[in-house]
Amino acid sequence: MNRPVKSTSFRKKGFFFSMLLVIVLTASGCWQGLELNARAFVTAVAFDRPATEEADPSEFLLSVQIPVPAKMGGEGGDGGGGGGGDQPFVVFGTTAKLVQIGIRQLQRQIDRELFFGHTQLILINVEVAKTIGVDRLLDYFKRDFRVQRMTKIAIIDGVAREILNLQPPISQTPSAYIENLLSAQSGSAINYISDFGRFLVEQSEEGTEPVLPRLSMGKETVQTGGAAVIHKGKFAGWLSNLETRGLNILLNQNITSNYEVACPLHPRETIVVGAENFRAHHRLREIDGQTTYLIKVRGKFETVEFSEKHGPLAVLQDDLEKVVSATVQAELEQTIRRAQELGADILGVGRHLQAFKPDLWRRMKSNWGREFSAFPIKVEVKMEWAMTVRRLGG
Amino acid sequence: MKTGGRSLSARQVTLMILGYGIGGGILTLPSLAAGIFGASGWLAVLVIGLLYVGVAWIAGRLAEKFPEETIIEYSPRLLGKVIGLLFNLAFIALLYLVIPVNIRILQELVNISLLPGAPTWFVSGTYLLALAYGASREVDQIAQVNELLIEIAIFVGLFVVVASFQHFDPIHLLPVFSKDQINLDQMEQLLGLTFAFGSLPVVNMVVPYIRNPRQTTKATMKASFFIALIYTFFTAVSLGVFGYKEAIDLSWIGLELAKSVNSRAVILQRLDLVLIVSWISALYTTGLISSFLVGLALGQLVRVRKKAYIIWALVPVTYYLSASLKNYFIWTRWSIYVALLSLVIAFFFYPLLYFLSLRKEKRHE
Repeated sequence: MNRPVKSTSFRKKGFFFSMLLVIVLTASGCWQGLELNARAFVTAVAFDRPATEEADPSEFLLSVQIPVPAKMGGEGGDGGGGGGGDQPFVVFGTTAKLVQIGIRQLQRQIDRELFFGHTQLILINVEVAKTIGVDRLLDYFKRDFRVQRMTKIAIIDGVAREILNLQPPISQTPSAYIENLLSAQSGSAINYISDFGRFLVEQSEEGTEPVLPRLSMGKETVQTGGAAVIHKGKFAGWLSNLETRGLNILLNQNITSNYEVACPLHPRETIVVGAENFRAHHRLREIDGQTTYLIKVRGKFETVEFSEKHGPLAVLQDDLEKVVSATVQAELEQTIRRAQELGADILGVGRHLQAFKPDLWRRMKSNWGREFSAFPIKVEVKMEWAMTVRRLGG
Repeated sequence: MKTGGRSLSARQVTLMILGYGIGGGILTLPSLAAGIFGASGWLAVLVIGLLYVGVAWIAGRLAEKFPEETIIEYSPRLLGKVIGLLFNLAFIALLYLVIPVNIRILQELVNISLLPGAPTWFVSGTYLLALAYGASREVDQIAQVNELLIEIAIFVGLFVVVASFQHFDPIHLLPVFSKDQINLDQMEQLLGLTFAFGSLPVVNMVVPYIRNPRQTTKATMKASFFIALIYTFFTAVSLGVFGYKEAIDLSWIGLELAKSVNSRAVILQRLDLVLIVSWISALYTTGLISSFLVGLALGQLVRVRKKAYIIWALVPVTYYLSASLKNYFIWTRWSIYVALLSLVIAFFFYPLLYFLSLRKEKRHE
């Protein structure tokens, strides 16, 4: 009896359909698929001191903000998107010594798996950042592949958990609101723009210390402005609003800001200038036989408002440029003084030494905090009046 | 011997060398380079790459001298039966050992990002079957598949690297070869660094299929130079973005580079998943070409005409080996052994074989 012979095309079709079946069964979903409603998307995380006074100093209160999808997306209603018990999110908290243990404890209260892949914010109370340290708290997050490098981190002057409970004034998700406040789109020059990825790079490098933005609770809403200096993984001190603006200029953060200066021709008048296009060049120079860190800052400004009935005048140019340059220079020098007071090299002076004067760096690096405080740093500022004038008269 | 005939163009050969070389190794290369040479890791990669370009010339010239044969066939004539056999076994081992590492890297990438809970039997198993099926085809089909996949992978990879320039800081690449940052005592890592460069065996196996064998050396050197260029560029950008200290700590620096890209203006805000999906193609080309060459080489060694039988027979062994590379540390150690084998073949046996072939040529004259 002849055996039926399978044709090649039949075998090929069989293989093709088998492969198609495998692809349909696997590519259209996930292995051990988890439905969206079985996941609790953590949009923000906060670290605070535990509420009880007798708490162990190494413990912290871990809070997570989780959106409630059913209550989101409502543009109308009270304040947009709900309020009070109708908030479009919930906040859970627990006390722990390690982040993973805290997450495990939180998981016991929540019927969905906590998921950190969409976390936009990590907020750390200043006391916790001082005692436990930012580096220590972020260890869990830097090891989890799902956590994004663009997650925003901020140090909170106050209770971080309160910010998680905040209802944004403009209708959007609370964490997106805070995230926008901490991004360049906020347009604020006194706000330091950073994220998790940048923090990790600055934290790991020798000869530079990271800075994180500061957030504080106002009466009804949260406020940005100022920055926290992190030294050896822990909070070292604040930079004021103007010092933060100075740091942004020194670190080429591409900011636009306004300065009020006295009019050189009419001493009782004030001129508001809008300064932009800052460019800071960092160099190491030998000045009087001493290695000096020289920062040359160039920028442009425009007169945006006059307090009296005068407008831009050609005769003002040289003096106004000098006044604006001096104002900016004074602010930058104050920023440098503050960094040296704190002994935290937020300018990356050590990084430059390591790159361009490795021998000198080798001698200084073991005691860099103290060396940095005494290291000669000079700033030269030259601002140019752009003169893109719409109106000359008063 | 040749079932596919002389069907490969010089461009396809260049792409096959690229397809074999560019795979999982590049994703960890900058970390290894930073661990040994600090901020100058990218320069070290360039130097190693250029050394391999030199060896590529030798490998190409050697292949041109025997345009009708693979290295498996002519090496016993040059080295003698016993040493020739030992060399062939080492050569096949080099081609073969790449496959379990390749499968393991794919398994980890898939678990990291695409299918976190997917078990080894499913991911590695289906991948291995796809490799075996692909490798059983003729050389011209393999070249065509490779041509398509490797170009997509390189394009996406370069796009990610260029996009990550937003965080690039040139000071991270300085100082150049500072004695504080160089750790030459880390011999294992130094060897591991060369793992990504060992793609030259391809040319000595596919030369009988090249349409114009006289273009072999040019195609090989072009591929090696391109590999050196891609690796150097990728390493320089990675170190420029992360700094050497952070780079050392990152296990999959290529993925972190993609994660660092933040393009709010573009629909695809995150590029890491795009990179992973396209890089699976790059992994597949490495595994595919490697499996094909192992089948071909073993077939010639044991005189089995149907290389597909050998490829499918090796599937369970390969699966067992890949499953035994349980974690990152184990497979990186394994890749060091492969790199060592590759170094010996590239820097000792290739020049030796070339020298012997020249001597033999002179004798015939």
